[in-house]
Amino acid sequence: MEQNLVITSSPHFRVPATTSTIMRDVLIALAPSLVAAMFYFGMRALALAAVCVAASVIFEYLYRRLMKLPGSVGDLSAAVTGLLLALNLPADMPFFKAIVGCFVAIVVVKQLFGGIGKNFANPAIVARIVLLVSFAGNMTTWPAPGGMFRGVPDMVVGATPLAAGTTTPYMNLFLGSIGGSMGEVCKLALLLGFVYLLARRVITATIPLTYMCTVFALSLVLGGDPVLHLLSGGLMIGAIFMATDYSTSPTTERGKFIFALGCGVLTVIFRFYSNYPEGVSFAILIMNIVTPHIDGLTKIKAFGGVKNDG
Amino acid sequence: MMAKFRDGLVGPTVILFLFCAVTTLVLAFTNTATEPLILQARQEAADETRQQVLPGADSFAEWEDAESLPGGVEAVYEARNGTGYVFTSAAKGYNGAVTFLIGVNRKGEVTGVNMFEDDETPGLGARVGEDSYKDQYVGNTDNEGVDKIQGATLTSNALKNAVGQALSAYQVVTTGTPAPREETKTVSGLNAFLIILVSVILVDNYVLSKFLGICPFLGVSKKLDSALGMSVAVTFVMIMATAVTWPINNYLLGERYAYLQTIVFILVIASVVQFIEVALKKYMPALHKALGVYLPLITTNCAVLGVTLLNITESYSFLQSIVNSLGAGLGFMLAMVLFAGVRRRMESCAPPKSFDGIPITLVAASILAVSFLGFSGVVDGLFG
Amino acid sequence: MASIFDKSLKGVYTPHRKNTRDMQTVDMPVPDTVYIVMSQHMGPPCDVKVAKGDQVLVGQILGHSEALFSAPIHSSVSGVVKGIDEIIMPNGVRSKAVVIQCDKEQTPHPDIRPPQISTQADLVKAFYDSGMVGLGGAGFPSHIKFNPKNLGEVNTLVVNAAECEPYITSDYRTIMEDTQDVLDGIRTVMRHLEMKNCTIGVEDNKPRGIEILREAARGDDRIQVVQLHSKYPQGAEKVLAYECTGTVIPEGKLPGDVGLIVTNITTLACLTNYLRTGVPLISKRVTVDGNAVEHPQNVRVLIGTPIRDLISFCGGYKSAPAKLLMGGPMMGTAVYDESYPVVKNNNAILAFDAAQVEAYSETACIRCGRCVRACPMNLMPLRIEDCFQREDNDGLRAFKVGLCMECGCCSYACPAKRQLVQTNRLAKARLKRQVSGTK
Repeated sequence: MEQNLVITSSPHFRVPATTSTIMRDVLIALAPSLVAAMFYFGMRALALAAVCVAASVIFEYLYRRLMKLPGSVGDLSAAVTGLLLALNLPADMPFFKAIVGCFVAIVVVKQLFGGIGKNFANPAIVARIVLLVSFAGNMTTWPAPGGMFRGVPDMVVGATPLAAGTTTPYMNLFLGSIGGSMGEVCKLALLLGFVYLLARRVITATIPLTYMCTVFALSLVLGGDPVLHLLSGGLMIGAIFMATDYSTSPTTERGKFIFALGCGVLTVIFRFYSNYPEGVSFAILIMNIVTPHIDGLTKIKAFGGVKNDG
Repeated sequence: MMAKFRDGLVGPTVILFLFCAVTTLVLAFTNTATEPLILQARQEAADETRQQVLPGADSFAEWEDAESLPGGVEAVYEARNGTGYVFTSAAKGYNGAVTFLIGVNRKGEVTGVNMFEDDETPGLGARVGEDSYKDQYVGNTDNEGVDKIQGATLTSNALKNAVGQALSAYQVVTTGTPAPREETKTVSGLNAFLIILVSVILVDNYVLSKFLGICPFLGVSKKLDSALGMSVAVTFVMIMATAVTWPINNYLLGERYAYLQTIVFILVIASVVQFIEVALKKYMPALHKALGVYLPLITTNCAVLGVTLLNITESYSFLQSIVNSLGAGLGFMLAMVLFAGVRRRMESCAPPKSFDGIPITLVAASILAVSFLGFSGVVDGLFG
Repeated sequence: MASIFDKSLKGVYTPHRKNTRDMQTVDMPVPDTVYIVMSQHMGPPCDVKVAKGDQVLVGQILGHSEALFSAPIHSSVSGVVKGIDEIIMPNGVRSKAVVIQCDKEQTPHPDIRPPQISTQADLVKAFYDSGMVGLGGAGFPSHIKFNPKNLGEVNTLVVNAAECEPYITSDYRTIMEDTQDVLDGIRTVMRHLEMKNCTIGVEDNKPRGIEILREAARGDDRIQVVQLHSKYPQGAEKVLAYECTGTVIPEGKLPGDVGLIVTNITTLACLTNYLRTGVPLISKRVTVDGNAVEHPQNVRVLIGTPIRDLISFCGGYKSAPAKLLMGGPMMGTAVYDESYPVVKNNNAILAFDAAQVEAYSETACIRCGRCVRACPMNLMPLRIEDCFQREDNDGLRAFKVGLCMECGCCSYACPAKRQLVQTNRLAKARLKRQVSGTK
């Protein structure tokens, strides 16, 4: 009697988590920030997020199709990149320019190198930088926070608290009624997302905590206001969501620590001394580039391993 | 005998020298013949630009007494028909100095403003150069009353200051009283070196900002050890070449023979590389073998020629030039080392067939270049 | 839940599913035909010593080999040799199998009698004659294990009662039902090998077992029972040795080199049984489980019984089986045909239907590092896979793929469902080929 028995290599069962469940968790973790963006910047925020997510997914789908590669849209990573990019933009960013950013992120930085896991640079970060350099006007004018359902928010151009240099109350910085990109303003929402990611074991706390503590300590040492720096700009969204990207950060905990340390130092240097008021994007990108070296230096010692050439 | 001469230490150098000497003579001859024609054409073009800011003027004569001008005003041209003056006025903007051409008429009113040279944020800073904005100064006798452009405050400030400087200069040239001498902040020795180093390694990295030396950058960065070896060799050549070309330029060539710089420098670089190669082969054969074919390739590395020429344009002193070339080499090394890591990571990548090899490497290099943009302005920030 | 201060080795928390834990072992009657495979141990297969048509008795030697890591194979039944088949084992290797038509009499061979042992050499011979191999699954012949070269330095006996694989409960039943045999076996070994102490490692999902063992060992200060985290793979040799005694067995070395002998608990119970009766290893306690089996239970089954018969004994299939496993779900081998027989180093037969069998399709590695966090040997499977794909053999050596014990933690934890264990196996094979190719 012929039986159709499945023969596979051990192990014969796996954890229920898949790449798409992990990405779905990231999307859920970003949801509070999206809600906060809608609260402060109106329905335009939702529209921009939708456009970015749709554009990213479409670009990835088309690329894979045209290059005759297996479809990868199902793993939701394109959606995550789209949403992250949207949350890094001002709520009044013109749709066309945001779509250009999505193209850079998905096609140039990610798919051209082979797709998920093969990129060495964080797609959303590079796209944000490219948009900053190309469309500086759009990227440095921030709509002032209004309320939800207000349609297009007042074009009262406000600089971010960092750029303005004026003292903003900490509570405003924490809750988000300030100028800034859609996702970076409400720290409370970001922290909620952080807790969710930790609980679901998507990320470990190493990178975000090390990054934020380094910025806090270093800005204190250099005479700045550490709480202001902790709560301003893209630091929190960068530390929690962008620096922790699997593919572009080191694989071991020790490597992650070094990575986050570097990010923190560079961020403070950029914030204090460079022309740009915001240094998080550049810091993370530079550390992405250093990551292969960090990985090379932080190999784990095998249990009982003997130090010879095998 | 001929063979020995050709392949020895002296032979190739002599041949190279002869070749360069002949080319130099041809160049010199051409230059002498065409110099007056070029000068005249240049003058006419410049006059035309100035006429744009001082309508009604014809030709211009340069104001000789540059010493009495206020800081930032680089030149003054008086219209021969008495309509007024055109001031070349530079002030600090977002990304360095921004130069404006400002025309002032006999009544002390601004007649026109043109943005001459700038390195400002594309899009943003350029708005300051738009007619709708800058022409707000036309008709003013002072530089007040014009709002800054949000998001381009520094560039707007530059224009405001430049106009202010031009109007002060107007006072100087019409009344004859020299401008008060400002305390110019000169940067002292060690600080200057630090500034040069930080600039050339981070802010104006030769590979990532100036895009020089891309060929070895792409070719040798695949493995970390060869990347390091190449960088060390390049740094060494840069310093040696600077040490030789700087005195040649400042004591031999001077202003008069400036057009000979390129060819003379190339000759020097080629000779230095040749000399180093032979010397290494004789005294440090292991290192020579390790560097292999990369060593003679340094001759064609445009970054090396670049650093020798840029030493001149930046008007560095001898020591500053040496520091500059050291920094350029170090910056090259930094870029190579960083990129070596990326290349290693890219071995596991799967680009499309058409992008495999150099194309995807260039894309990766562009991402690396973009990341260094963050350093812009760091020098001013760190060293005031 | 391990805390961050935990110094224990990494691993994964698999579901336990010890459904048959509290079920008394049932004896299975003699089947109609048995297939005695000639390769039931680590070394080369035994040579067949009988011919077609021979009459064989229980305990008679069917296969024997002079090779070092082989143990003799005995008949588990009395009957007539129907033939010598060539079969393909589930790992793809060809081997011979003696097919015996059972007469159900179970007449013992006249040579069977309890051996007299008074020295270590006698004990080693007893192990050999009983055909005993490590009953934890590896099949390491016991007569070699209990005869270390540095006998004087070997002082600690580590007994593996961890049973970390899901579903399997046969060792637990040994604790519950053969407690005294276990203790006697421990004492016998310790006496003749002059060992100073013994540690029994039991996972904390077996609290009753721990109690019973401690009760039975009371008064004997040399024997202690250590409670282990219920984390897979606590039962792996190097992991167990470390968790119980803190000793690290270095790369390329055996436990004996660091003064330990690690053995499965059931092996010791079988030793006592052999010394008492003289009957060699001919039957095994096997856990039959999986959602396709009607009545999961622990069965004492004769070696050579076809899996098909075993499952029929357990009520047959509840639903059409899609996957049959010999061993646990983490390290077990998938069986391609249910007529394959039970062998010595078999602790479980699991049958799953289509609902529980997932055809995992690999997606791209996202470099999440969960495999690194899971590996008890502190290896980096994602880097090994990368080196393998880029054909970087030096990298494979640098990442110590040779230390991989194929426990399955990495593949288990991988969200992209990558076949990491398989890649490790291929990598090890490639390195071996490279070494033998140049030699």
